[in-house]
Amino acid sequence: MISETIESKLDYKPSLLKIYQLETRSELLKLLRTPGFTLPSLIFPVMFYLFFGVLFKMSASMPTYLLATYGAFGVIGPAFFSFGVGVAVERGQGWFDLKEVSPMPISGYILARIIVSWIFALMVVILLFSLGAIFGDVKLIRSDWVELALILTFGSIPFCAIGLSLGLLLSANSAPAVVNLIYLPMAFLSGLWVPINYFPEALQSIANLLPAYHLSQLALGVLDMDQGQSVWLHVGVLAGYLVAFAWLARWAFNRKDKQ
Amino acid sequence: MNIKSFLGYLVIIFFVILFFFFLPQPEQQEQAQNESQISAARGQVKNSVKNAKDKQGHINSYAAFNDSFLVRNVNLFDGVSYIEDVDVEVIDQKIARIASDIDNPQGLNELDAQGRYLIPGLIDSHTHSWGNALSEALNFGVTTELDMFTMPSFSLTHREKRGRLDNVAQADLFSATILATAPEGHGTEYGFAIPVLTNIEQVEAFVNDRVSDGADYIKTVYTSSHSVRKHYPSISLDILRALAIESKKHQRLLVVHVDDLISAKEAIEAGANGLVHSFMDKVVGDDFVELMKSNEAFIIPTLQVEASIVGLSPGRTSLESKHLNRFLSRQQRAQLKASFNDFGIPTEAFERAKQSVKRLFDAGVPILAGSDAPNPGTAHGASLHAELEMLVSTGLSSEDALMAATSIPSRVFQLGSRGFIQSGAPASMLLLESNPLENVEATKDILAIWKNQLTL
Repeated sequence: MISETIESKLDYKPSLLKIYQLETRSELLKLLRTPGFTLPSLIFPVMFYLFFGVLFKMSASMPTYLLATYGAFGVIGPAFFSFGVGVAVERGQGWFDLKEVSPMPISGYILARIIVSWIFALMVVILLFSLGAIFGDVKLIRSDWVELALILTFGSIPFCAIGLSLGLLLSANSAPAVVNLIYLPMAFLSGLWVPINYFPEALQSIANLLPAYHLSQLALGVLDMDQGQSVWLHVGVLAGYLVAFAWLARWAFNRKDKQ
Repeated sequence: MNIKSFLGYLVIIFFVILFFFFLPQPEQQEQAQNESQISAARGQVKNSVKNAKDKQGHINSYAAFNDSFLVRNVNLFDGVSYIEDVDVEVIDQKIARIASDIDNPQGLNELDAQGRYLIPGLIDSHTHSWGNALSEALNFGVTTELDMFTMPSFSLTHREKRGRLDNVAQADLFSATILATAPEGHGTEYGFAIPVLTNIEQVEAFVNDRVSDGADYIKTVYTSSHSVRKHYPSISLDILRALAIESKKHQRLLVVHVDDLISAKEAIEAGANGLVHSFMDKVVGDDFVELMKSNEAFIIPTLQVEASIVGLSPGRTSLESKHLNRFLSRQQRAQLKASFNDFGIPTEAFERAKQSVKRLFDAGVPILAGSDAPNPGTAHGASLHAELEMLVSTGLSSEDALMAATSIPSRVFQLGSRGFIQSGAPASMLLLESNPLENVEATKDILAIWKNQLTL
């Protein structure tokens, strides 16, 4: 009887789906238990929004406008930090090598992180929406709320690719600083904190190069508050960044093995 | 994955979905349909390239009639009177001769305008202009805007341009620059730090500063201490009187934003030259009409914004007009769809404003057409056409409405030859397909726009 049990256990082939589920679940639990990650990711956008969107609002439509832009800011955070910093730190700790030699395919590692980053993005979105609705008097038709949530959460995926490249290239020590140095100025220059309208023309054109700007424009497009550029321009730039940095990540991953 | 965690995930997903059903929606209003209503965000507008191209394609056939040409057999409204079947000669961007059967020794290009109508470029007597406002306005045939509150940096830049014949891509700007208001009064809510008036000693310096900023007239906001509704803190009656005196010293008109009849009455008695809004609390009585007449005061009813405040969605006319629709930028569409927060004023109140306009008009008080663009429900240029239609709906004739956007504001604000088609004036005019004197909506069906020369 015992040998049967052991044999049936040996016959048990781990399904890919189950691997993904387990990795996702553990990644989620790990992050939920890391206040150093959850608190900044969730609280910073909320704080900024309360300050600039609700308390110091400059016009009746500011809470709505800033919901989109701080939403973009908020969903990029988990992507950058779980990938950019998380991967670099895990490489430093040796976890990364351990997971690499495990039976789990690398796709599982990445996919799990993307899903968890998406879940955190959704949490940020839900928090901001609640604040906007309660304190900012934001009122949108239901389909707009949903559309905005979908654009913001799924729009964070190109930033997962950027984060992954950074995580594979940076050392564990420098990663937090470098990621912040990229995240915060990029967010500011993309018009996520102060509406892009208030920038001088020259700075406004720089924003066109930044993916965060395009994500915020897509979000603002739902609210009819964007700059009027084509939707496909924004989608194109984000897709371009996704492809370019996914390729860069793959290159960095392969290069690492040759060292 | 076991059943317990699976159910756990389902519960979480259920609550997330439920969350989206609890998020607040805007009150259902007639025009909501499937579009969200949000007050328009303020800021720079990038005119979509599509507009310019549309305009380009639209007027390509008129390209030969640029700075010197001859318009033949057109029906002309020159700002004051109507002349059928006449020729208009333009030389070097200025109107030269207006007569029948003009000779053409220089061989200028001749535009056959048989059966069509030529009117002066329109004047919007109440706007708030910044960013792309002036070029947006020109897209709709508005060649002059009278701004009632903008930052001096904007007004100074454009003041310098307005006298120049090469200022062809945008409307001319006249401005009050910064309005005179009380601390936390109307005008301070837009996030710009502006000087406010707390006591009468500050008035002289304030008006001096506005004049140095290039103000063509002085604008203020006033609510009487006897008013029932007090939207915002207001300057006192004494300060208002002082403003009237100081403005007169600088030979500037003083115009006043009021929200009700009692404030209007006190403002005119205090020496204000004109009102920049109508009001909806009461219809004007004979005594008030008499007061306006004897003080030679005028009114810019801005029916667009009054209608918008009570939720009548005046922006719809522009959105639904096929003539205007294709020139509207995305931002303008958002502005036209936007609405004010609910102030609790019933829609019937708007009728009072309309009746007041008619009574004042019948008594001979000058009525000027102004849109108050780009407030929610309005957009630069497009809304002036809607305002003309609304003026006609109060009982004015189409011709009266046209004068309210051409010769009358020009005379009241001393804008020179703007609003007139006369010899020596820069050629700023609109060629229309049909007769605007029969139906004022014809002002929207524009075949060509000239602003000193053929425009973009």
